[in-house]
Amino acid sequence: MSLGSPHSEAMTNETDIEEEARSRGVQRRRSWIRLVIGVVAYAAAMIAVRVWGHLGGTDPSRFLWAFLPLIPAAWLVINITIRARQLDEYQIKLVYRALVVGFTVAIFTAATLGMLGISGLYLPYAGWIVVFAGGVSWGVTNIVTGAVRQF
Amino acid sequence: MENIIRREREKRGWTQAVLAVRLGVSRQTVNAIETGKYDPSLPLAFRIARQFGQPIEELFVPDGQ
Repeated sequence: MSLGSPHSEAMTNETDIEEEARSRGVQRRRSWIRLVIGVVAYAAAMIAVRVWGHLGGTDPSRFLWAFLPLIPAAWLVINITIRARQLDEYQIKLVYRALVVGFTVAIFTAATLGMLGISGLYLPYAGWIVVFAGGVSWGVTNIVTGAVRQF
Repeated sequence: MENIIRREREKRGWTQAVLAVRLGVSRQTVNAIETGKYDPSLPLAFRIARQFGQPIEELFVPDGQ
């Protein structure tokens, strides 16, 4: 078991400490910029699909259009993974709570919609209801626990 | 778990940011530990003890003791 972090061994003067603090701030800002780029690109992809994709049509290319948002989604997943690896144990604990709530709400929303479907109640865009419920509960929990400040 | 991290840190004239860098964690994590909102893992507790040159049991005291 390691008794000291690699950083603490080398932290012998104020300049090193300031430099380390600054690099963490830079990491955090870069993470936010990448996240914003990903969200904007995702929104743009969704609009492009809606305008040019003609998902309700008959052209086989509509299936390719439906996959277009996966490109910015992959960018978001990669960047979130990078940021998650930079978090420390307390930050992970905070982020974990929101993920648990978001995942649970999404699963039970999907199960409820499934039961309604079996009972004959047709809900169009049911997948979007799951996305909304999971996303909102995840976001709200992040705000309530203060996890949003860790990103 | 109660602790005397804030007292020990201030005794050395360190800010939370300085201690955070020394420990390899975020400033928010140091604040959460000092205010008792978060009990650190054993490896982090050892790192804290090492920074202050004191045994863990002198820095952290279970509630009610």
